Amino acid sequence: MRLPADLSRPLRATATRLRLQRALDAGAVLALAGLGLAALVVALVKTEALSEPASMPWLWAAGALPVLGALAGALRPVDPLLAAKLLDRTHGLRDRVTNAVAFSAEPEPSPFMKAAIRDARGRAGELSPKRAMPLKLPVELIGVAGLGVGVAVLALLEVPRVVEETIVRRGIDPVQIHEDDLDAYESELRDLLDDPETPDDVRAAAREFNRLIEDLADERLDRAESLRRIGELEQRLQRTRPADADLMRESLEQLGHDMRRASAADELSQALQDADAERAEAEMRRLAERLRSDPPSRAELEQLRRALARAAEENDDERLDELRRREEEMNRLLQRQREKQQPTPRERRLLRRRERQLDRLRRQHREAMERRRQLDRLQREMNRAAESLNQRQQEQAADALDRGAEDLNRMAREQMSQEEMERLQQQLSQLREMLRRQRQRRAQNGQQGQGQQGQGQRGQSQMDRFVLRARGEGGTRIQMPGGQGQQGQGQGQQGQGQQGQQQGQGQQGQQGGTGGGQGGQQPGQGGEQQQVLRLGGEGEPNAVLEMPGMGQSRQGQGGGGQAQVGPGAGTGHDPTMLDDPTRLGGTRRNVRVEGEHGQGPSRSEVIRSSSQRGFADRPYRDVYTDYSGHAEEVLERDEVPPGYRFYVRRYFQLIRPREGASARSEDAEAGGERGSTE
Amino acid sequence: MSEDAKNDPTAPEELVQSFRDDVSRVREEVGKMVVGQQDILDGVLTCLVAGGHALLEDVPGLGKTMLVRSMAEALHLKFSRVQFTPDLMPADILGTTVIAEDDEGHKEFEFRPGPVFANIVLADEVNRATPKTQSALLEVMQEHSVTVGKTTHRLEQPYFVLATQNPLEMEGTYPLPEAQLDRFLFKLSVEFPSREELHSILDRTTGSANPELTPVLDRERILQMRSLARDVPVARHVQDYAIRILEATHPDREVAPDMVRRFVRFGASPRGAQACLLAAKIQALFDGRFAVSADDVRAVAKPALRHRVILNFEGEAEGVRTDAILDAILESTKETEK
Repeated sequence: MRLPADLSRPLRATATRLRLQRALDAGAVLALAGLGLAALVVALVKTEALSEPASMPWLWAAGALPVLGALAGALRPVDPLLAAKLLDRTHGLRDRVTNAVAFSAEPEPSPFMKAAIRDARGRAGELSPKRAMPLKLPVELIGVAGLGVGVAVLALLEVPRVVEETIVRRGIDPVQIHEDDLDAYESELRDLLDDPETPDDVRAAAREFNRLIEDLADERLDRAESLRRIGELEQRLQRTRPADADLMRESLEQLGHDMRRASAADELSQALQDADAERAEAEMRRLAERLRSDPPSRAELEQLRRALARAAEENDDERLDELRRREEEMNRLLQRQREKQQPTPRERRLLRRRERQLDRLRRQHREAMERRRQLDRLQREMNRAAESLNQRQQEQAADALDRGAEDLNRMAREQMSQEEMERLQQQLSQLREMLRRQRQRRAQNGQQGQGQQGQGQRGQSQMDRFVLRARGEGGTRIQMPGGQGQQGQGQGQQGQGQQGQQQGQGQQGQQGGTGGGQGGQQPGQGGEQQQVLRLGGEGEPNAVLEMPGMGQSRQGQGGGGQAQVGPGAGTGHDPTMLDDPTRLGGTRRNVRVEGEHGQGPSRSEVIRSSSQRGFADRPYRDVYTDYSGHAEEVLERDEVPPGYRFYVRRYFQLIRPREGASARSEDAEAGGERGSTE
Repeated sequence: MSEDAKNDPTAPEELVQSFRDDVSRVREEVGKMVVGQQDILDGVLTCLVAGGHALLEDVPGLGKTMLVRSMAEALHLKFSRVQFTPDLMPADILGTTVIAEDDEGHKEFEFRPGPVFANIVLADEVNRATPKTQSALLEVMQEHSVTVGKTTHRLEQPYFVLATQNPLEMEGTYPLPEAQLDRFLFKLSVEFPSREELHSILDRTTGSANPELTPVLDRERILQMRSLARDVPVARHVQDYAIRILEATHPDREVAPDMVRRFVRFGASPRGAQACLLAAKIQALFDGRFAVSADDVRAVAKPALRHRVILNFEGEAEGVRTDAILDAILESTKETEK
C-alpha cells in the first residue's frame, strides 16, 4: 500500500528542509575547521615556515571543506520515519503520521492499520513542514564570522622580520667563550656601570661592550663578527679618548718638580709629581684655604711665590713642536705624491695610508693644543697667585689657587675617564687575544687530532713555564690569594700542614702532569677547600702553587687551618703578616725616633710587611698590567680547570689599581705582595 | 471517518468509538462514588481490559476498597474482598470440601468455593499473609482456575485481582517475591488527594446523600473490549522503542544509563515488555486512536515496569526509587534510533 499523496507531500517537504538544515550545520562546522586551517596556514606563511606556493593547496582545501560539508549534509539520506516523527512531534499527533508511514509499508495492512492511515490522512491538512523543520542559522556561524575576521586580519598583518636574528642563527659558527670568562668580564663591566662617577662616554662604551659579551654568551656571534665589533669598540674608545694624556702627565710632573722647594706646598708638589690631578686639586684647595685662614711664615710665602712663578714660567712645548714638525713633513710628502701624474697602485695605497697618518697627526695635534691650553690656564692662575703673593695680597692669591684647582679638577675628570677607557681597551684586547688563542687551539686540535699523551706533557711544561715566570729568578714559591700561610707557621699550624701533605697524595695524576706531579684537594678547617699543586721531581717539592678551592678561602690560610691558642707564649706570629717570623735571636739596637711637629693633619700608613728584597722600584700599575696579562695568557693557553678561572680573574679584578688616594696605599700593599710574588 | 466506516459497525472507527464511550460511562459511574484518583481508575481499567492484575501500594484510607467496589458495581461483576492476615490459610481463600447431607439423608463431599471465585477480587494487604497463602492466590491469578482434590474449578472471566500492600508497616509482613510481583500487570501508587478532592470526599461521605451506582457494562462487553484491545496494531518502531526501554532496565546492556548500571541488580523480564505494549494498546484506545504511539508506551512504562526492576544493595541503601530510575531510562531512550 502506497502512502497517500496528501501525507507524502508534507513528508517530502520536511525531509528536504531537514537536508537543508543538515547542509547548513555541517557546512558551518566544517567552515569553522576550514578557517582554523586557513589561519594556521596563513600564520605559517607569515612566519615563513611555509612558502606561499606551498600554502595554496592547503588554502584550497580549507575553502573546500565547508562546501564538502554542506554537500555531505544535503546528500545524506533521510529516514521517512524521521520526517514523520518531526511532523507528529510538532503537531501533537501522537505518532499518527509515523504509524501511517509504517503501516503503508505493510504488504497486507489490517483494518486497524488502514484506519490508522485514514486517521493520519484526516489530519494531513494541518501538517506544516515549516513548523516541523524550521531552518535555523547554525550557532557556529558566529564563530565562522569571528574566525573569518581573524584570518583576514592575520592575512593583512605585516609580521616584522628579524633579519639579523635569522642571519645569525643560520649557518654561523658561534664563538664559544667559557662561562667563567664571561662572568669575569660581566663582573668587571658591572662595577664600571654601577659606579655613579663613571663618565658618560665611558659608560656608553661599557654598555656596548656589555652587549657584546651578552651576544657572545648567547652564542650569536661568530669569530669574524666578534672581531669586527671589538674593532668598532676600540675605534670608538680611540675617538673618545681625551686629549693627549702623556703631555698632561709630563706637564704635571714638571710643575710638581718646579714646586718641590716650597715647604708650604709639599703635598701639592708631590701630587703633581705623581701626575695625580685629583689629589693635586685637593692639595691646591687646601693651600688656598691655608693662605686665607692660617698664613704661613714670610719665608714660606716667599718660597711658595718663587715656586709658583717657576711653575708658571714652565712651558715645555717640545711635544707640540714635534707634532707640528711631523705634521708639516707629512703634508710635504703628501703634496709631493699628489703631484705625481700616474701613480702606481702601490703608490696609491701609500698615499692613502699617509693621508690617514696625517689625519691622525692632526687630531693628536689638536688634542695636544687643547691640553696645552688647559695647562696654560693653570699656569696663568699660578702666575697670578705668585704676583698676588708678591704684592702681599694673600686673599687674591688664594682665589687664584682656587681657580687653578678648578682647572686641575677638569684634568682629574679627564684623567679618570682616560683610565676607565684604558681598562676597557685592555679588556677588549684580552678578549681579542682569547679569540685568537681559541682559533689557534682549534687549528692545533685539528692537526693533531689524536692522543692525549702530548697534552699532559704540554700542560705540565706550560705549568712549569708559568711557575718559572711567576716566581722570577731563584724563587721557589708562588702564593695566590688564600694561600698565604706556610707550613709550620706557629705551633697550631704544624699539624695542619702535615695534613695537607697527606691529603695531597690522593690526587696524583689528576692534573695530567708527568710522574712527578702530585696534587691534592682537601677541605680545610671551617669548610674551606684548598688545592696544592706540587711540581717538580720525586723528591721535595721545589715549587708550591696554592690556589683557592671551590669554597671561598679567605680564612684558614697556611695549610688550611687556623692556629689554636696554646698555653704561654708561642713561637709563631700574626698570620696576617706576610713576612718571615721575627728572628728573636739576632743582635738589635734600639733607636728612638722623635716625631716632627708640623702644621695640619698628618697621614699615617700601616705597612704590614716589607719586601723580601728591598723596596719596589716599579709602579704597581705596571706590575699589575704585566701580571694580569700574563695570567690571562696562561688561563687561555693552559688547561686550567674551569672552576678556577673565575677565581683567578676575580683575584686580578680585586687587586687592580684604584684611582685617587687609595692608589698609594695599594701601591704600598702591593709592594709587599710583589715582594712575595716576584 | 469515511461514510463506509460510519455505516459499518465492525469498522475500527466504530469499535474504537464505542470502546471510548463505554470507558467514559464507567468513569462517570465510578466518579459518583470515588473522588479523583483518575490515574488509578484508568490503571485499574487498563488491567481489567488487558486481562491482568494490579498491585496497589498505598496507605490505608485512600479509597481502594471503595474504588474497586464501585467499579465492580458499575461493571455488573461479582466482587469479593479478602483481608489477608498471617493466619489466613489457602483454603480460606480458595474454598474447601465439606460433607453435605441432602434431604434424603445422603451425605457427600461438596466443594464450597472461596472468595477468589468472583470477577473482581480485592486482596487487601496481601503481604500480611504467609507465602503459602500468597502463592495460592498468585496461582489462581495466573491460571484462572482452582484445583481442589482431583477437581479443577475454572474461574469465570473476566477475572481481575486487585492486591494492596501497605508500604509503612513492614513488621510482621511477608514481602511478595520478585517472581510473584512479575505476575501483576501494573503496580499503581495512589497519590494523596488534593485539597479540592478532599473537600469533595468530605461533602459526599459526611452527608446524607447515598448515590446509587447502575451497571453500565456487563461481562460480555468487557470480554469484547479485551478482544478489541488485542487487535490494535503496533508499528515496528514503537515496538522497538518498548524493547529498548526494556533493555535499558538491564545494567549489563549498552543502552542502560549510568543510574541503571549503578543501582539496578536485575532488569525487567520480557513480561514487562508485554505488559507495556498491551497497556499501550489500551491507552491508544482510550485516546481514540487506532495504533500505539511511543507516547502510549511512555505513559504506561512506569506502572508496568516499576515492580519488575530490582534494585541492588547500593540502590536500596541510597533509597533510590525505581520511578527515578525509569525516568532516567525514558529520558535516555530516544524514540528513534537514527
